[in-house]
Amino acid sequence: MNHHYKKLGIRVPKDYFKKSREEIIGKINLKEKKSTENYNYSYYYLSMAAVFIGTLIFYNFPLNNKNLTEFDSNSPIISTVISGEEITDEYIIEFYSESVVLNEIYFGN
Amino acid sequence: MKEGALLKLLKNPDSKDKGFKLLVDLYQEKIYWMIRKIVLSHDSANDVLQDTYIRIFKGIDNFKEKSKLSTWIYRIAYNESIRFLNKESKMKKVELDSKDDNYSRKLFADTFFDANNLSLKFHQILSELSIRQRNIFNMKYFDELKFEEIAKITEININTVKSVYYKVEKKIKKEINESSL
Repeated sequence: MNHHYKKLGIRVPKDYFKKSREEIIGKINLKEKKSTENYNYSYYYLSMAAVFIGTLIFYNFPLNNKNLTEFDSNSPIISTVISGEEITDEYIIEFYSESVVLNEIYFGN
Repeated sequence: MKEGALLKLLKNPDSKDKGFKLLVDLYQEKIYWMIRKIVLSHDSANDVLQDTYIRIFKGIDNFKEKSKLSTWIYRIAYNESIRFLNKESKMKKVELDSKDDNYSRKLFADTFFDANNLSLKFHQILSELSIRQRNIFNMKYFDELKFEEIAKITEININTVKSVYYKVEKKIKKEINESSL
């Protein structure tokens, strides 16, 4: 300080370094606290998102399986694979006519 | 306290706060004066000092110990000061090899500058140097850093640092002696 003041005439306000020390440490603590809070917030939101996704999967998984099964059985192509028959125009027409009839019976009931 | 012990405290999450407080106590004044001589006004030096410590705190975990801790700290302070000068100049990046045209304006505008015959002479000579020459001279003459440290902090070849310093020192001695005759 004397060195600088004597030759360069530059000085600091009274108790500057004491106050500055507190200010620096205060700023660091504040930043630390903020980053911890941010971490807590992100942890909270991540947990919420995980629960939400888990719920969606839980309720949709059996439904998806059901959809897949229904699709399989209603597809003439899959049907030919299962039955081993050749895909012809006649087969497809017959497959859909049968479906329509079955639906009519179903809705009729 | 030895640097190794301080570094141990700083690298351990449980003692990082304690280590950081010690770091502030040890280097605050030294860093402040180095910054002050680059940015000139007290208020600017205060801002840069705080930014420097925040950067040190954030970066300490990545400090690879390739240099002394004190050199690393001075380097951050130096870079922050140059960053401040660039921000202050707004229009263009500060040219370190040219003079600071606003040297006297910044100095006299500062409340914490008391002019006397010797300080005015010193500043008159320093204002005629390029920013780089001035920083090298100040780091050696006032901050009492070693040439090797100055070379690492400023990223200038050690021989260049030495030659700049001796040249400036000679000039200052000559001019101060002449003015006191």
